[in-house]
Amino acid sequence: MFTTQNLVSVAIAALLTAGLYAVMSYGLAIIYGVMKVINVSNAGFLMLGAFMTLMYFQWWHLDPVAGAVLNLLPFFGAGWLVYKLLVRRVVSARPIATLLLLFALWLVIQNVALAIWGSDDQSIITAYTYKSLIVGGFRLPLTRLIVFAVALLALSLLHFVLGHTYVGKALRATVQDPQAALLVGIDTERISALAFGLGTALSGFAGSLLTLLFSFTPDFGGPFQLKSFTIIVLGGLENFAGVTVGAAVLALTESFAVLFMRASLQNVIAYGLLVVALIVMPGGVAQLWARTRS
Amino acid sequence: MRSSLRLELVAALAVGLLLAAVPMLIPGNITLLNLGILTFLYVAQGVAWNILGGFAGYVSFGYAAFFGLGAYTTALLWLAGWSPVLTYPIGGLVAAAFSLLVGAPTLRLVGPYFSIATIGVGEAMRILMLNLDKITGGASGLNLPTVVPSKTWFYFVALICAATSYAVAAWIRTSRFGLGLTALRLDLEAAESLGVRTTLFKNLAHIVSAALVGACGGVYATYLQYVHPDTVFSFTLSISLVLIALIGGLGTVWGPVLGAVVFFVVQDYLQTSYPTFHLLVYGLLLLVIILFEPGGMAGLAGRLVARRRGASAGPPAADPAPHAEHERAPMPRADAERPGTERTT
Amino acid sequence: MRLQRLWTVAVVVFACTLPLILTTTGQPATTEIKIGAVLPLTGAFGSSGNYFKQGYTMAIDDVNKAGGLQVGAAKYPITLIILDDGSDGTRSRSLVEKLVTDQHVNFLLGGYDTSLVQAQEVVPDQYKIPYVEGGGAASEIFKRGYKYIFGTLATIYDMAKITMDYLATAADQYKLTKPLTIAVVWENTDHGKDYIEGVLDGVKARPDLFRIVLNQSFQLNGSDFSPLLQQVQASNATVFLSDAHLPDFITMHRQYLQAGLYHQFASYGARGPDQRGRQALGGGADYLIAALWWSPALKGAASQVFADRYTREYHAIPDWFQALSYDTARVLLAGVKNAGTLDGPAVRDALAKIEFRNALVPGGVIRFNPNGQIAGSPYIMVQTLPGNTVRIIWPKKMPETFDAVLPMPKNQ
Repeated sequence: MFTTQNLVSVAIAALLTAGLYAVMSYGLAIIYGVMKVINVSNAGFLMLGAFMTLMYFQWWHLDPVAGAVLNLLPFFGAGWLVYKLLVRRVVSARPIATLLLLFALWLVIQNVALAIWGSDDQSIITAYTYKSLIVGGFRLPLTRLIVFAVALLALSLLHFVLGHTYVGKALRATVQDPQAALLVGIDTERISALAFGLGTALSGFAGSLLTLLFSFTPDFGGPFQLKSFTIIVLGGLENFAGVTVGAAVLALTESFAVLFMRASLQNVIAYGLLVVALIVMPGGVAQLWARTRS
Repeated sequence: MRSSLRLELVAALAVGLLLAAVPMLIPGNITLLNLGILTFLYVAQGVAWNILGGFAGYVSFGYAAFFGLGAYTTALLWLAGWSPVLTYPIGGLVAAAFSLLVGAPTLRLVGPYFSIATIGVGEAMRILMLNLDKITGGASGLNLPTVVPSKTWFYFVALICAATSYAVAAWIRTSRFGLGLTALRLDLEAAESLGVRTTLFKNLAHIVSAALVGACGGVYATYLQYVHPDTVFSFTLSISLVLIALIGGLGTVWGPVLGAVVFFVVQDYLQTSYPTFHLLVYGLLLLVIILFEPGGMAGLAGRLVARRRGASAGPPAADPAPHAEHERAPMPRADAERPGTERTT
Repeated sequence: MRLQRLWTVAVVVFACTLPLILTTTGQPATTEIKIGAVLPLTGAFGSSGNYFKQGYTMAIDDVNKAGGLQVGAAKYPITLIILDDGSDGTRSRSLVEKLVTDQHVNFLLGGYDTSLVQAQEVVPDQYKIPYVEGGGAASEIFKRGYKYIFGTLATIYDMAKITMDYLATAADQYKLTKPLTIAVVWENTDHGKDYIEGVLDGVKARPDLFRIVLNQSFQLNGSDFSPLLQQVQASNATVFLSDAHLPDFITMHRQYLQAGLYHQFASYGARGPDQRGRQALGGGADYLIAALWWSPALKGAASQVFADRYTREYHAIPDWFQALSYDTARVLLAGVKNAGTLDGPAVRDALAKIEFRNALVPGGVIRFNPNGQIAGSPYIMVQTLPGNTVRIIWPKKMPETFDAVLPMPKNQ
């Protein structure tokens, strides 16, 4: 069973999954970086992104990849509004208030979606959904390749924006030292709204890409949410490049662990890694993160 | 303060006696007994959760793990021939032991990181239990003896659970231990420098509340006569406790009592009339509470009283929320310009 | 301060007595029969739960249109009360009890999916209220010694055994590659455990023909099965057997096809022919083999009448969910009629010895074993074909039975 061929194909599949994991965790990382807020409503926006893509598909036969791009603007707006109307009001109180607020928002989004679309499994079947390519003797699902490529492209673009534009630099400066950023005249309030918008836009974007791979319901997003937490914690929270590393670590661990244990324990790996990473990796990649006392 | 405390205790005793008299006053009403049993169990757990979540400020999303462990302990011992009543404290002990095991490392995390870690622990426990077929019956669940005590018996046991939780919480609230918890919630470093043994206190609060919730799990298992990992370790259960404490008033003794009653009545009503909307209502309620009344119902009650007093007695009240969330920044708008990062340290 | 405390106390007292005020219930009515059911109308099993609601409603409507149910000398109209448990076990259990204690239902109809039926099944015996269900098929449900539980679904163990028997004959008939190497995956529930037990017993019966190359369990309502499917791929099996509920079937088979997996014979237990799954998978469900309790492809008169009527009322093609729930409700009503009284224990006894004819299930008769589960194992094997067609491929003796398309054609 453990031939080299098999192991390599597991590794390839894991790397393709890592692309997906990275793109769905990036929004979380940006919002965390700027505001030190864990956006638990991320799952809601992922799900909403998936359902909007379904709507575009039903109305205009729009491909999910195009749907992902189309999602960016409205989701940016939604994130901006969520920040302005809700988050801003509590962000200066204890951090747990923000967490609970966003949790409440998730409950609301999820149940509104339930009221609109019902709890049936929805799915988008495109012409290439079941196609796969054979490269070097390995069969690669076309949808996974597309998701990986699009994710890679989006993340590169994002890196470029963050690295080479004024807004991007201001955003990174705020991540590194908000006080100093304020001193040099960066409007951190605007940057926060921007980051929340950007993070939400990425969630909507990732939600669209997920429809290429999975069927979904309004409950969709919960398990991915916890995986995203694991990824950003593994990646070192404030380190944007770390997200990619975290995604790869999680995807590889998951894929290989299933070879040695019951598949029904699969999610324990992500949850276990989350707890362990939080506890034993306070430094590690995450030097910046002073979350424990000693 | 002392007289008001005594008054509060007298009131608690009166409410307790009144509730204890209900089965005698209205005999044979099973609906009422069921309602009472479930509400009291929620009260007991909400109040217990609040010892760590409210007093110490460590919001846990993983209490289902304690509930589930208590439930399974009772179930297994009951099947082994024990009398259920004896198993409740043991269930509590098992839950307490587990809370120490989990709490020792995770309580070093602050605020949201602790919360996120507890989600991981809770969900991992559920899946683990689903796979431990030999012990838990795995996904088959465990089928418990069908010979059970009467509903009235359960009513009293649940009432005793609630009363115990209340008594423990009320005692902690006024003790040095409780003061220590408040201190470490307000400022961990400052509390430490003043000599509060924060690590010990946090873990103690965790253990006490876990034990209470574990015992409730045992009562629930006997009441339901069936335990299943998805049922007793469910994430929904963990969320319920957070909601109860928040609705009622984080960090107060009476808050979760009110919260549990409201939570259960809302759930009971909505589930039968508008099942789809019941989580939506909680979500909206939670939004409103966090945005406008972080003190929950207890805070609101305090504010209303303060306003009435202010209107009748002239000078405005200096202490609007009795013992609610004084440390919550009352007005976010004023300092919204702050990027707000210091609080993570 | 004093006033404030008093105020708080007043609030508390009020809050505590609130339940009292809210639950002043009336006396049980004697002018009608109340039947209650708790179904997952939302949550993971939402679509199946709604199908059950339709089936129950149709059966009750039949009787009410005829002026009510004749019980002894009197004729009673029937009220059906359906509550939603959101696919949650705890809620399911407490709502069933609520139906009994608050609504004073006379009889209960079952929920959907094994796990939720298991959560509910404690209540009927406690209150001596007969409970007939068509949504839980794991044999574990009936091993607990309850007296008031009756089930109209043949066991999942039998489903697996019948699938294996069919596979054995198909291996010769359609020249599948021998020995048949089997990759079997099953959901980690009683449903799945029943299935794997049946498969393993089937393998034991024909060690010359079958060989298991992969035996893995997965978590119910999983979000991503790709690591599992990689193992299936690596096992190089010729036969793929999976026991999954609808949401998992949709997720898993989609990923199966995306990964480009192929087997000469693939079956997801009872999944494949259902409308919901076919819709969600596009043409992806074509050629799958399923063992079913009922299919609109059955040409018996009762089945055809039911299918036509369902299509008229709901503008869709019925699956086994609606047919079995329709049967389930009718069996309960027949039991009440036979008993000639609304008394719980009497109706239970009537159900225990009922012989319900004109049922939709294959064979047309529903009787119960002493443990409460349906006697015999009325199953059919079907194959889904392109163009939303479902054909019966077993048992051989029926006129509507066709040859199967095996080995399954490659999709691309």
